[in-house]
Amino acid sequence: MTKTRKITILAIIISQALVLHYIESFIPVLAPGAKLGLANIMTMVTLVLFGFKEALIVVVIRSVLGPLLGGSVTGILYSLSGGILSGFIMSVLYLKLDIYFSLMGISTAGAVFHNIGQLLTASWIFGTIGILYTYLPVLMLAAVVTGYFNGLVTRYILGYLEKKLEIRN
Amino acid sequence: MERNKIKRFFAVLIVLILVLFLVSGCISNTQGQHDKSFFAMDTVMTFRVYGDRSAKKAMNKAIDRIKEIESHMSSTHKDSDVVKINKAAGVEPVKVHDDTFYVIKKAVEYGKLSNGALDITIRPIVELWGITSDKPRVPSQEEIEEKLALVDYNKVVLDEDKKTVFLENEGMGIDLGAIAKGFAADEAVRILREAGVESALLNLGGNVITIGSNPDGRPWRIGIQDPRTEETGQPHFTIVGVTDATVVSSGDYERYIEEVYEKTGERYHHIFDPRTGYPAQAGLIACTIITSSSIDADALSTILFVMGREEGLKLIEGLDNIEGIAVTTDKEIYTTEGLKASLIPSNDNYRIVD
Amino acid sequence: MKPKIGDIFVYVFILVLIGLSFLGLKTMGSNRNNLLVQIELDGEVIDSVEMWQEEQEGELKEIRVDTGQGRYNIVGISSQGVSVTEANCPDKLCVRSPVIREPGQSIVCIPHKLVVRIIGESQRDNAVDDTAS
Repeated sequence: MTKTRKITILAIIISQALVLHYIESFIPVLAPGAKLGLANIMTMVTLVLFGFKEALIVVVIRSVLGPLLGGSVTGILYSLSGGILSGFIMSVLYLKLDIYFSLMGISTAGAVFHNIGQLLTASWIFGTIGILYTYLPVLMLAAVVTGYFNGLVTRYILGYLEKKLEIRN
Repeated sequence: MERNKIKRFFAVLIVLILVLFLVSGCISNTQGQHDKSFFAMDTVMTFRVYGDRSAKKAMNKAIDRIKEIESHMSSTHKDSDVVKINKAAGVEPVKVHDDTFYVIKKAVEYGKLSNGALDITIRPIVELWGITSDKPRVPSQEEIEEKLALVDYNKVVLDEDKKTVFLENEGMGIDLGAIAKGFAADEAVRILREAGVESALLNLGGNVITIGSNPDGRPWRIGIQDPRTEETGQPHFTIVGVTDATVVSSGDYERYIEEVYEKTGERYHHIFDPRTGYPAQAGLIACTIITSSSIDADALSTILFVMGREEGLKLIEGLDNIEGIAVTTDKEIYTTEGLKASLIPSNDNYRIVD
Repeated sequence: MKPKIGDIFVYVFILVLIGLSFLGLKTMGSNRNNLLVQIELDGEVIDSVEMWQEEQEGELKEIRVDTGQGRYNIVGISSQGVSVTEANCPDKLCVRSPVIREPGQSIVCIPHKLVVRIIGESQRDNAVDDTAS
């Protein structure tokens, strides 16, 4: 694959992640922080199609630009900490341990660690550990559902993209 | 080449994260509660500050500031300004820190305003009685008269330019106990406010200082100590709701000679009348000042207690934005005009008099 | 679509996390409804015991606090409230302090740098945030 083609595809992926992030802000949430995390689909697609480095680039750019579209600067901090932690975890699971995990499992683990990263940041900012206990159970249950759903979507998208783009190297 | 790129990528990433952490540290106004209690100025102080990490930092800064003030104004720290001034009484002027100069100047102003009801040169009398020491005693009239000759705030010579303080006569001594705590509170509040703290509750040895309101939006509810709690079994005689205010009480219940009280029923307490050399007996058992400046509150609560309800409340009525409560020996509560409508006793041993 | 072994591991991990956070909540929550007697030495919390219960009427729990160099205070907790029952400090102010029973109240022993404090949410209507004395 040429460099130009790669950059173009990555740019499209990032913009799609941003669009998903934006659309998601219209969907009501069950609990604060318990979001669908649709943008994670694009992170996983990148991870499968390109690899760790590219996935992390997508995560960082999406995490910085996303909150700027609709949110606060503190939002950047939350999405960065969550995104990077979950990006690392998913990369390790997919690139090193993929024989043990399905995409749904990896996506769920990603969602779990996305929430953990955000909560750790929140308790750091608030200066209290109590938030962890109160929010963790709800966010974990949400992660099971959204993680499975996102993993499933990723699987279908990948099946389609691999046929159409023939970009897997 | 590839390795360098990865290195550069991570370097940029780390810098980006650090910058964001710094930015968010400044702008986030999420509320956490930070508590700390510590001993300073011969008493226990408790801080409860609401805010993010910067609020916690400001809290520690404020505590350090209080300890600094203590080291300048303590009567026991051997290098303190107060100890130096007392040692050099009748000998030479002493150069002091700006803090100490400000507090002494303020105290002398209050001495003038109250016509000597508050006098920082009361120290010889305080030492004679030793109410707060291990061996308190009731001195003879001759002893009191001898020491009383050394008590005169007009003999505190202040040099504004050189920032020096001089006590004219040998044997004189100052004690900032009645007012330094108030200054420390004002400084703590200033530091917390400058750091953007919008809600805090400080207790400096019984002086309660509030910033903003309770985080749930209500005013802070401050109980005022029942001066006869051992009789009534009640913790307070009234409760006031305040925002951005300091609540300071004085009374005969805090420190007194227990042995004498048990035998004779006479309370020789720790607030002296500088005009008689005896514990103040103006018909009050407790009084409270509510205002925004703690140094004013500290000085005025002593003044009110020494002057008594009529004279004292009249003086306070003449000052702006200061409210006072006086409790008489008959457990009657008198207040300044501003509090008349709102004050309700919280136990029925006390009654409000209009 | 059978879940793989790793997926099950993820779900177990989630269950463990939820369990742990409930444990954390419980230890926090138990402090919330009941009153706690907190003992501080020079600003550090050194002990924290639950306040008396109604059924413990008549019982007296005594806690001896060694404040260093042979100095001590004994804190008594009964259904009547909390007091310092004995101490070898020079002024004995803590022993003479009235019994405390409401959140926000405290007994202080300045020579020993000891504070006995009641913390928690008050059940009473006229609860105060602090007391000026």
